[in-house]
This record gives sequence, C-alpha cells and structure tokens, in this order.
Amino acid sequence: MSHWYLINRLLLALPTLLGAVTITFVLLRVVPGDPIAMMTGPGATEADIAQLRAHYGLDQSIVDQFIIYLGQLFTGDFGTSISLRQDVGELIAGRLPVTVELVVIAMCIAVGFALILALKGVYWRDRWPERLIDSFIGVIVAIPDFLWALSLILILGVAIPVMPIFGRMDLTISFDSWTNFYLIESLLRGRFEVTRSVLYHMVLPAVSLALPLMAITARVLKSCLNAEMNREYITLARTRGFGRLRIIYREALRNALVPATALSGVQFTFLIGGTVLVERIFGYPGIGNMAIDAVINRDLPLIQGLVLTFAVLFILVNLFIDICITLIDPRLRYA
Amino acid sequence: MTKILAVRDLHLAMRTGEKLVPVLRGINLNLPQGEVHGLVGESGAGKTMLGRVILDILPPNAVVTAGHVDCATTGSQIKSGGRIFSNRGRSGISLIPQDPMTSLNPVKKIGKQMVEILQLAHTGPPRALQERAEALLAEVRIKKPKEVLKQYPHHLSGGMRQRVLIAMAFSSEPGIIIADEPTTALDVSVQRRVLRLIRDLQKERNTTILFITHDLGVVAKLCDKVSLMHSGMILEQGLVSEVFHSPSHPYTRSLLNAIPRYDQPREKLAPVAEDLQSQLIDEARKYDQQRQV
Repeated sequence: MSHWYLINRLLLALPTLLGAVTITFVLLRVVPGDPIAMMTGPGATEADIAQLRAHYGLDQSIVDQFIIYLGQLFTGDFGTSISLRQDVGELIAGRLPVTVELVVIAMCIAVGFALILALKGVYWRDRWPERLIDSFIGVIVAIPDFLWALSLILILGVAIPVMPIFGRMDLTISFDSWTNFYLIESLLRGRFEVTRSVLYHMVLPAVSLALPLMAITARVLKSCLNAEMNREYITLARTRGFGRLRIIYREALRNALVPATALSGVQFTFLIGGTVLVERIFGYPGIGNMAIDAVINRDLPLIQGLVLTFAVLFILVNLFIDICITLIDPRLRYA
Repeated sequence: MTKILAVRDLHLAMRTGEKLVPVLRGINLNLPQGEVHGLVGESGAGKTMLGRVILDILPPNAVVTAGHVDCATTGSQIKSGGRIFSNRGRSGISLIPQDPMTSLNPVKKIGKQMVEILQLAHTGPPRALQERAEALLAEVRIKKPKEVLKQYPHHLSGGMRQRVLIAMAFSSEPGIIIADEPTTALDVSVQRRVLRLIRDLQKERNTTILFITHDLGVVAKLCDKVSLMHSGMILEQGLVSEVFHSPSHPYTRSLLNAIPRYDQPREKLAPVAEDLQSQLIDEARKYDQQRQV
C-alpha cells in the first residue's frame, strides 16, 4: 500500500463529488416546490416575496446560481439555511457526530452478531441449528429497519416501557459538549452518567438499524464461509487432523471475509439511508432527521449540504473498506 | 514385509435423497511397506473416493456400506457405522493433492502454514520449527527456502507450490501417502521433475504410496504394482511389469492400446471401445442387484 494509492483514490473522489453536487443542485431546482413560499406565511405581499427571493439569490438563472454555489463551496462556505437561518456548515457539523456515533454502534452490533450467526451456522452445517439460524436470518432480513423501529417502540417503549424511545439522552442531564461526539467526549471527560444515558437512548435506534444489516451480512458471510469450506486447502487441513472449529476460524474465515467485507460497502449505503427514517421515528437529532426537515421546508442549501455530506461519508467508507480488503487478502496488495 | 494398508471388500455409496448410489463395489487392496501402488481408471471410476475413504475425509453424504480399511501407520479402522480415527493418528498418513493452485491457503505465508503442520507432531520453540520447515523445503529441492517461507502461495509457480505440498505431505514422516493425481495440473517438464522427487523421497524413507492417476506412462515409470478400476470395481491387479506385458482384462488391453506411441503409426491408436464401457457398467449394475437379493 503506497501513499500514491491513497492520493490517487482521493483525487478520483473529486469528480464523484462534483457529480453529486451538480445532480442535487439541478434536480432541486427543477422539481416543484418553493422555499420562499414555505418560509413566508399566506399573508406575505408580492414585494416581500420578491425581496426574499433576491436576498437568497433565487431570482438568478440556474447556471448563475450554480457558479456562485460552486465558488462558495471552494472557499468552504456551504451557504445559509433558508428555514433555520444558520450556516449550513455549522448545522451539519453539529448534527453529523450524532449520526456517526449511531451508525458506528449499529455497525458494530450488526457485524458482531453476523459473525456469530455465520460461524455457528457453518459449524453446525446440515444439522438442525443451521436450519434454525437460516430461518432466523430469513425473518430478520424480510423486515425493514423502520418497521423494526416501530415494533421495538411498541414492545419495549409502550407495552413494557423499559427503554427510552425519544431523543439522544435524558433531558434532565445537562452536558455542554464541545464536539457533539457525546459518547467519546463524556467518556474522556469522565461524565459517565452522560455515557450511560446516551447508550441507553441509543439501544433501540441502533438495534433497529442493525437488525436487517446483521441478517444480510450474516447471510453473505455464511455462504462465503460454506464456499471456502469446500475448497481444496480445507480438505488438506482435514487430512492433517486440524479440528473443525480451528479450520473454520483459522483457515476459512479470513478468506471468506474478503467478499463479505467488499459487500459491506454497499450495505453501508442502506445504513445511511436507514438513519433518515429511524432517526425520525426516535426523534434522534442526527443528520438523517435534519434531512427530512430540510426537504419538507424546501431548504435548498441545507439539502445540498446534506447530500454532499452523505457523498463524502460514502466515499470515505468505501476507501476504508478497500484498504481493509487489501489488508485481509495478500493477493490484492501491490496491484 | 509389514502390511501398511489393507482394504477389505470395501463398499461405499452416496446418499442422494432416499437412494444409496453405489460408488465402490467390493474393493480389495493390500499395500506392504515401501510399495508404490498405482491406482488407474477413468474419471468416475471411484479412484479419488477410495483415496478419501482411506484418508477419512469423505463428504457427509458418503456411507461405507460394507467392508473396512485398516491402516497400520495411523492405527485406525474405518468401517460401516463407525470411524475410529484419532487426530494424533493422522500424522501416519497424508495427501499430495491434485491441484497445487487451490491446495494452499491463499492468505497465509508458506512458513506459517508449514509451521502449523509441524506443530501437530512436534513440540519445540517456533525457531526450531522454522528451521525444520526450511530443511524440508531444501529437501524438495527448492532454492532459497528461507525466502519461500516468507512468501504467499500466489508468489510461487504451480511446480513450486506442488513441491511445497510434497514437503508438507512428508513433514510428519507418514508411513503412507495418498498421491491423488499429483502431476495432472502441471506441465510435462515440471511433471517429470516432480515425479522423480516423489520417487526419491519415497525411496529414502521407504514410504508406502498409493498413486492415483489416469496416466499409464506415469504408472510404468513410478509404480511397483497397479490396480485398474472401473465403475467402482478393481478389474485387474498385479505387478506393473506383468500387467503391462500380458494384460488379462480386455479393458486393460484397450487402455494400453490407447496410449499414443511415437514409434507406431497413428492409425493403431484406438479409443476405448464404447461397447466395452457399457458392458462394464452393465456388470456393475448386475453386481448391485445380486448384492441386494
């Protein structure tokens, strides 16, 4: 792995980002819906509306608007939110850590349980526990994350109210965060009651996001593992007298992880998409929740900023996954 | 001579749904110590399956329906219903596989794979095992064994990988080795060197080898005795010199005629007759019917 590879990948990401910016920008202005009409009440006069329109530059042609927007982007200016009247960059910087923490925890839950399910399933191949695991995965994968969210609220929030179902943490606790990464920051600052409350509030949304992801990952990993177990080098390991458990963990697993990890890049997209609905359902103050408000208010600069953020996240995660794969599989190095 | 491997009236079948499809039909085989025994037959004859029974690595749907395999070097008996095969006994037998390209774990360095195998039979500091692995690679005539130990399988050519696999097979000092078409995936010039290597190592250690192949030329060069298989039965068995000079079974004769020879006109080259093939399959079916009555 050379630095050139990394630099090359990051440079290649630029056209992708430009594409994402252009498409969002054009689509938002072609699609019906007027941000000014959303922010002014029914009593606004024609003159008021025209003045606001000029204030936000919406009276200019799409091409002119785009050139101005691109110029501002290069200077790090994401524009001002129309509905919230705040800097888009600051708004996103405040909300992004919330989503990142939620997604990372959900990923950990999903990958951890997927590993357990896949490894146990392969270990008990062709016996009843494998069939049980297969049907369990089948049921989980069939239900989308927002339905899990609603069911979990119904069961653990309403029927047996043991879990919090709204917000990021207990409102009675006051915590002045500098970074908005509550989880890490509270741990570092020794505010463990904050950590507890944040984790407690995170359980239901994270589990809702994790369940379908876990099922898909488990299914892919299990079929990869089963395919590896039929390979010749596994047969040889058997002739040498290595136990089945050892063969699965120390011979097959690392090989099976290569395609499974590659696929998780695609799954990450679904996870990001999933946060939009799940954050909304749990009133979780992340960028997903913010995206829904931005769309309802036709807040063009904010939507653009959020799409750009999602695109950057996606590119970084895929770069990270590609690096992971080359670390797992020596055949992909020096390529 | 000590008897190393005895296969007695072995019957093997594959379970497909409710039915048992016979794969091996009454195999008898005796290998004394130091013998290189060729097992010849076309695809589907059951050669590889016989090797797998002996190694006790049958697929889960394969069933030994009658007979047994006794192996002196592993102290094991494999028969219908039960298999007694202690993991420790495994070091008494090993396999040289057919395809060197898929037979090494692609994500582990050669040195690591060899040390892991050596750890099964030897105890000692990793350093000593590393040196032992190096010596083994030198024995299979790999130049710069130290560097090869640090490489991944994909850095090596097919011939090199097969040498590594041969070194692995001999590493536990097994009394018997099953060589399952070890040169089929290699090109001709590499084939010869690999065969000579196996022969040399076998002679030094007086190892018993069951050499599975469909190449009669290889059998002639390498083996002491030969068994000819078709439809899960052994048609002819004997010393290589006898079988090749005066084959008793028409199938053997037909196979020997099918070997291309540079000193004879091409017209004499005859494929194995189809009627002979179907006759053999009919015989196998009759055998199955008689056994069920």
